[in-house]
Amino acid sequence: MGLFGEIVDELRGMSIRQFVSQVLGLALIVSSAFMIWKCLILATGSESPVVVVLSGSMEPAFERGDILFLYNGEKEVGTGDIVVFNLPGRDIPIVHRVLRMHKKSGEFDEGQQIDILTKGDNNYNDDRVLYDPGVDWIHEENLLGRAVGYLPHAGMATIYMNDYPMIKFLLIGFLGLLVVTSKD
Amino acid sequence: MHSASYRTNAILTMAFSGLVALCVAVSLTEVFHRSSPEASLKLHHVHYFRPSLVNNDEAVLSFNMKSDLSSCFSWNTKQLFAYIKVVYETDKHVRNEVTVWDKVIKTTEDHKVVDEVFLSKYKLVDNGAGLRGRDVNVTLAWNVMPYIGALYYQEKTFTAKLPSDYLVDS
Repeated sequence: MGLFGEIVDELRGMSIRQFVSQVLGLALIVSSAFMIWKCLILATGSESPVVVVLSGSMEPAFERGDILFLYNGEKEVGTGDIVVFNLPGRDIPIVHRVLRMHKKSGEFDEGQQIDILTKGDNNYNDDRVLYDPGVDWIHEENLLGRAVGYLPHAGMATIYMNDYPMIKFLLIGFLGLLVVTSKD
Repeated sequence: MHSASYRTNAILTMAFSGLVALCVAVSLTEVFHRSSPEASLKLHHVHYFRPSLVNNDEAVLSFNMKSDLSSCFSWNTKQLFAYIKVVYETDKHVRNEVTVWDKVIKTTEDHKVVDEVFLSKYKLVDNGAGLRGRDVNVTLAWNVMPYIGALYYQEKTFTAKLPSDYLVDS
């Protein structure tokens, strides 16, 4: 009965030609989503223009599961900016606020010109405890971008999907089936 | 045509579009919000001023601040993140910005500071030994953080001069 029965019936009654056309439709949706993502990367200059907040270190401003939109433009990073950065050798980007910045005079390697120290609004201490031992500063090369937009709670689904991968596969499978069988 | 899946799909699509439209509309109202914040900030006293073990100049400051940021709150404002940064130039660095105080302003009650003298929350630490006799900009800045939409910054800048010698009795 219900939704699932309908879908199965739909699949049974389909000709090969119909089936191929539906699969192509699905491929079109997936590739459009991919293209939109790539265009966002071009427009914002950030390799990851939308990120989900994973920790409570910026509370009460940002909670776990909130979405931030990043921009990585020409403007120099300054104290008070909320930046998203990757520490070398670690996969999970961190969202914290710039506490201190010192721009060196003279010539330096690309991305090394500015010394940056960060701190979470909700943390008592600055982030030197998070950086590798002996590392006092991060640099522009570590930055993914500055937070310019905020959308609450919308990233909660991503967190659930990361915590319980089964949900992800079920959801993708179900949506795929739905798209393949739907008639326009 | 009138199957359960079609109806669910239609309802969900409709609800989602409505939600997106509402979110966009709410974040756009911020464009029309006009604020007239008032603030004056003075360096009150230098309580500690000497080089650290690794020869970075360190100072503990206190400030005299009079401010009213209440007009920065709109109906879409979740909080202000107010902070004081000391901005200066040294021989080693063309631009230094050091946060010495910050505060999360959540309610319309605690955004008013009337002639209050307070100690800096973080030490003013230079990345080198370039603070003696330095002319600095002392800036009160605040980050307006919304319930939904764009984050933006405003600031007011004042000037100060640091002592030309370290304090010995601190």
